[in-house]
Amino acid sequence: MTTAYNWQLGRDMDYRFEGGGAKRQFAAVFNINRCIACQTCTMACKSTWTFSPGQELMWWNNVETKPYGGYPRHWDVRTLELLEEANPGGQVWDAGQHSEAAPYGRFEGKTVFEAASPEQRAVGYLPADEEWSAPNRFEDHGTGWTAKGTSLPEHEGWFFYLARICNHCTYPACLAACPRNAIYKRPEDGIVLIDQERCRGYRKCVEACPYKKSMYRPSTGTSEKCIGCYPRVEGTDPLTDGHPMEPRCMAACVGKIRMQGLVSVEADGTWTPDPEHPLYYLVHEEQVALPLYPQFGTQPNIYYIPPRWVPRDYLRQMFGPGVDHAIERYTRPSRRLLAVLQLFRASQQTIFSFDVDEGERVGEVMVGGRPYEIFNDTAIGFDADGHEIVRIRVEEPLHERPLKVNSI
Amino acid sequence: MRRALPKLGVLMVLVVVAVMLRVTEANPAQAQTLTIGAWRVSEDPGLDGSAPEWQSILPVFVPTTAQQITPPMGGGAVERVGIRAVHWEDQLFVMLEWSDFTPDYFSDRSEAFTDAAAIQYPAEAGSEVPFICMGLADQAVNIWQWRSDQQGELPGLPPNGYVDLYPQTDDLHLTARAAGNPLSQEVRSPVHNLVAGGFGTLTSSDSDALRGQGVYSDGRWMVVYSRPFEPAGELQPAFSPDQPIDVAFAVWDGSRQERDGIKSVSAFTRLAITPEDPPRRGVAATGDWPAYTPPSPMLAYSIGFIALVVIVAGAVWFYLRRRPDGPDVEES
Repeated sequence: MTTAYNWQLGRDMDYRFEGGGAKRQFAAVFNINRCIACQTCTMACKSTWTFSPGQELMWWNNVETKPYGGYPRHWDVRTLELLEEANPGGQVWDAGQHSEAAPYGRFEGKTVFEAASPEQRAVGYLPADEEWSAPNRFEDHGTGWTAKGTSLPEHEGWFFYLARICNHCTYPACLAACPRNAIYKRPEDGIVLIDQERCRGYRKCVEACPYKKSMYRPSTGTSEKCIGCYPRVEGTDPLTDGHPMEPRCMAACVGKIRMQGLVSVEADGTWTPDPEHPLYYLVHEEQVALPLYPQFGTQPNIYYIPPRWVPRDYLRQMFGPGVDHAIERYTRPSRRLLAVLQLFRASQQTIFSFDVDEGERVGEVMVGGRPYEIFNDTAIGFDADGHEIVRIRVEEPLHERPLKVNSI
Repeated sequence: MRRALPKLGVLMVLVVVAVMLRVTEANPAQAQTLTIGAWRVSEDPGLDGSAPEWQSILPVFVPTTAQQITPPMGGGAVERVGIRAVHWEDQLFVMLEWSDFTPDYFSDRSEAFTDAAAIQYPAEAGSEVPFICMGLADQAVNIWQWRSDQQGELPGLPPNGYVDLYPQTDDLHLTARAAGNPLSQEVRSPVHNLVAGGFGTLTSSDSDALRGQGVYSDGRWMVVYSRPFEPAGELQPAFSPDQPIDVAFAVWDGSRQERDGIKSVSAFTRLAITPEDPPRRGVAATGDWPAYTPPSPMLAYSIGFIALVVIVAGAVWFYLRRRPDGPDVEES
């Protein structure tokens, strides 16, 4: 077993292979505060990749309702439980000692790799078909009929929607667990793929992936997973004329919660400093977007702006100790952050850098009992060559309809 | 401290043995005690291992244990396999037989795994015994693997599944089939010819010349493999009456989620092709395997009948209780 540096944990950790191996990394930020669980992303993915025989239970993209929902059922609680059993009481963070290389402090517990017994590569479990079926059932449905109507006793005042795809982890557990070496991480974009020719359907990847984003397909006897819409990321879709393009789930997002990007990474898996890159800015500069269950140790690459209204203990378990800082920053965003947040879903072409043109002051609101000024700044997104691809203002443009409407 | 001493002693012995093996370059896998005869038969023995021609041959029992060398480790559900081997018209036939009360025919669910069995040879006959686990980079192995899920059709819809329409069902949309995965093809052989040179290197080879079939009967799998003496491709051994060959066996029990390294494996034994007739015995030999009692439907019927009686009696009692002219059980 070799070691690899996991900046999300602020320390070296055990991993089967050295380093992440990618020069550029597919990453994204999902702003949970905006998600309405319309499942448009889910259907965009389904209708593109998983509509064929044997893929009936497969949802490479899913949106589940937390705290009780999960696809497969209870996936996160089950893995957290396994880790807790392996290291009772030890799954804690030392958030005190944070630095640039360890922005959330140091995780003192065990990752899925470190908690594994010698017989396996990673702690995990294999969900049964029943757990993969009927996603979202009972998550925010009425659970019973009363004389007054249906009741929703579960949520007790808070819930949120968690959109999930494969995290294309820097240190994927699926890849480490595959006894066939049939899973690989592409150096050019860090997308993790299962070689459909080599896979023999052992499902060690399904068992090991803590996010349960590797799924079994009986009609071919192999496992499949989210492919990050790599033809679009490669720029082979004619729509963008050879330029990298967002995956289907992101391009279809009605709530404009998602922004995808390709970030440069160093040999040790850390991000190359690039404050003009919108994802680097959100994750490292503002630290407003956080990894999902960083304690699993796979260094996932989908980052979440945590929901403001959810109890902090729950959020800290899910996104690590950076939660309080992230919510504080998001609730009273800087002018620059407010501008970057406008770039979400402003273009289906991948944005590689951004700039902000300052605009006039357009209003003042009260945030947290204190006044907060709003400026109509303009966010500009550029492609990899520095060409402008989108320009959007903080204030939503007002269009006045002409009196004489020529339609209908 | 006193309790730690025996452990320390064992460790010391292991270290000494390891050093001795290193110094003497001895290979413990070569210390074989078992030789399996591949006997001459005058008629095509066929691929049905349950046939009397096969069953009457005296088997050689080879012990198997859990794989404990590399992750994923485990297995060991099967404690021994019965081996019979014959040759006919320059073709080698090997039959593996083992006890498994839970046959798995399909890998049709996320948690369903196939039963399987494999024979491993050095890629070159007469070469030094390779590393027992999948060979080494310079000492490849040839593996014949049979899988129960490869015998039938690939599964269709999951239980209770309902689909309005599949827009495309051609091979391109069965991704692994389009990618050329031999396990995913519509027309497949239940046995796959594979080569390996170390962990994680298992790769498909030409399997045209390799045939095989598994039969489940009486609580046992009986799998027959057959291949001509002369190999049809690279990294496959030639069989010859003059040259005994090393051979090892592995068995997987799908019901216990055994797959890949999680299996029951044997040490290397020796297979010798002989011109002699096979030693035979009565077909109805018992005691080789644990007695198998197929699940009886009578128990289920009995429980169902009792349940029905209770429900009917309850309904009658409830009806009589509610009727005004019935037995007066209401409190007045």
